[in-house]
Amino acid sequence: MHKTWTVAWREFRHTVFTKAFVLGVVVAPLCFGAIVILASIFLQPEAKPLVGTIVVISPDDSLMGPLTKSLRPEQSTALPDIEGLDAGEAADVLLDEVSASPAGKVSVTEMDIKIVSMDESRIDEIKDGIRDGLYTALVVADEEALDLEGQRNQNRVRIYVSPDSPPSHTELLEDSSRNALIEARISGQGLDPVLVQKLTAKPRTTTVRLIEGGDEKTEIGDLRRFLPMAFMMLVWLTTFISGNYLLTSTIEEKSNRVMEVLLSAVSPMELMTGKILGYAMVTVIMVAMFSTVLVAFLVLVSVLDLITPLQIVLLMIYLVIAYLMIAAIMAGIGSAVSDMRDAQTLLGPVSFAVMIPLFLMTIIAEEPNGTVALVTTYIPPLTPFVMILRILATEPVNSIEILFSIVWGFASAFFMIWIASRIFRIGVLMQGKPPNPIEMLRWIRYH
Amino acid sequence: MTENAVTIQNVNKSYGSVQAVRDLDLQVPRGSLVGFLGPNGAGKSTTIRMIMSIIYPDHGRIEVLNATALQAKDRIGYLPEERGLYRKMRINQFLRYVARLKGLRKHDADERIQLWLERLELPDVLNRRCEELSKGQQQKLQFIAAVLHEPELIILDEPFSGLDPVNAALLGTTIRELNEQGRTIIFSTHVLHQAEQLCDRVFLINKGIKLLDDPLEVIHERYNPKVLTIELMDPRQQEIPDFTGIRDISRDDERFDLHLENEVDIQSLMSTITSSISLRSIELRRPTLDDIFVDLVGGKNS
Repeated sequence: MHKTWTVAWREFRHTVFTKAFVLGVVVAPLCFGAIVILASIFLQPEAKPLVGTIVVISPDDSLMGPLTKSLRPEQSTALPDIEGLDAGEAADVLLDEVSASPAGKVSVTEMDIKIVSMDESRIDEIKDGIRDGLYTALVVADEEALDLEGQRNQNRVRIYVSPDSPPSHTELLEDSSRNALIEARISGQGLDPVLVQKLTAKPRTTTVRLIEGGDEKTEIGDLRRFLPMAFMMLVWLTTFISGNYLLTSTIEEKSNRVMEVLLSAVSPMELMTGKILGYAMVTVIMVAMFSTVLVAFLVLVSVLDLITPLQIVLLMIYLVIAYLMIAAIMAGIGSAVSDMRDAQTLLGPVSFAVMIPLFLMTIIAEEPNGTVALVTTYIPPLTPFVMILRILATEPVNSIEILFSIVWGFASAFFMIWIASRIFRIGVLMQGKPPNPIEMLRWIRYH
Repeated sequence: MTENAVTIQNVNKSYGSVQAVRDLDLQVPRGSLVGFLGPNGAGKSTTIRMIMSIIYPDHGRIEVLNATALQAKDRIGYLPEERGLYRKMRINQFLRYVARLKGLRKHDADERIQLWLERLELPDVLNRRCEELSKGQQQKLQFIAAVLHEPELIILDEPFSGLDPVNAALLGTTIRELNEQGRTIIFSTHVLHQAEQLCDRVFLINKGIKLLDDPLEVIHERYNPKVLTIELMDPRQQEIPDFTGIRDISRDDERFDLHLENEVDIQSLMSTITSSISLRSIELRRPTLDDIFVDLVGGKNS
């Protein structure tokens, strides 16, 4: 065991204490987070305010009033009212708001704009004025703009802007013009736009899930859907990165011809086990890094209670199973080939198989006890990834099934390690052409 | 009876349809320095790898230091034919890693690393990366990795290849010193004169079959060509008088090779010749390993 730990420690040390690892796994996520935060703090107010004269040409000046109202400086961009909502609901509302807001939203309170109406006959003169910087924009509504019968016609409101107008301004003008047109239509029908807006405002709903044991839990839609996928991606990414390190290290030892020196001191099984243990420690570091970011986000939006301690324990168990399976695959492939190019050829089908949970994650998260979820649960190496999606989904999974999946997962992982060890002991001393599947089968059966 | 460091009994090893080693029997006495010779593809490296339990025989038994090869791993030092280093690793890290794998404690390892680096004239390389060393230096480093844990049995596969004459001599001296300390050494080589200088026993295989396995003196005796080479004082002299016990005479420029009959008393014949003709030199030719190698391997191949 001493030799196995010596190998494990070397693999860990020579991976983690390198600039590449520190930059890639520690510094890069931190920098990414810092850039996002700094950008949101410093870049947002930099959006250029919309200023100048906006000319409106519309039938009977019908768009003037609504557009002025839509663009008026008093209009607020404050966050939606979340008072009285519980933490989960508030998070949902905020997420809705964030996803709905246009990028680089212009602060309307900073605008210094004048909206004037002109006759259509002056359209060319106004366009020239925009080019010369005299006007900021021209909004032209067609004759049919208020015609309800002709609603399917496109481009009934055209907006002309100067060549240097930023996208945020055109977005704002398009938005405001659309709202103004709707308001003009409502008024044209003799209705009160404020009343109609109130009547048609979408009411907020709260879904309460009645869970086992008589408890109730408020549903947090988008986050609930996002969580299983985020954790599955976390496990998938970390196990795959570690597996790749293991693969590269094995190939490097073969190509450097250092393998024979190692095998004069340790058995192939000790070497492979040491490598798997070493990269397991690397995985722990990566999971700690990435999950800290994820948990920090959950704390930030006050929804940490979305995940229970039991689910965390199960996540850890499935992480171990996932790592053992991926490590076995990578050790087997790494020992069988002599360079990365050959490894890529063998990795192709394996990568595709392991990516299946990524393709199916929406279906499994939506229907965690459906046929697709049930079938893929028992196909190694998909088992741990599918189970992570299932246990974090809304619909509870039967405890016996969870237990069975763990037993099945470990049994499959150890079987895969056994297969890998059979390939490893022969493959590590082979050079040149990679083996075909029949040769690999012979290696596995060879005593 | 001398105890054996390595006992190989009836060992066979095949790679697919190629029989690398065939019915091999071999005993390496403890404390001996054995030259393991053979042409390329003779099965030397396969045999060595089996002794090291890196690969396993299809049939037969191998006992190393009174144990199975796997159990004795920490008591064996091995320099493989295919030299390998972690290119980016620092010298001290590499040697310490190998030492730890061989069961040495960190403190002992550090002490021995320093001693061996000085002994093999590799000063001030401790903190350099392996890739920064020359090929010869890398080879010496790998030799250190093989002997650092003071093994009872040292197996060196082509230890002299790639070394300049000065470093080859240094390595030869070191090997001899290790043997004098009582360590058993097996080394394979193509440089036969080095084997002749160093080893006290020779083991020759070809195509996986053992051709020779004896102490060097026995081999010299057995393959004694019984040839006297003489150089005459007067180079114009064209003929050698008839002497009893000479069956044939051949000439190579100014030298004559006198091929002797088997039963001849060499000592008395040499006295007769020196008293009869005026000589610049007379020499009883010894068979070199080169001669024996070419004779045995060439003969088998033909």
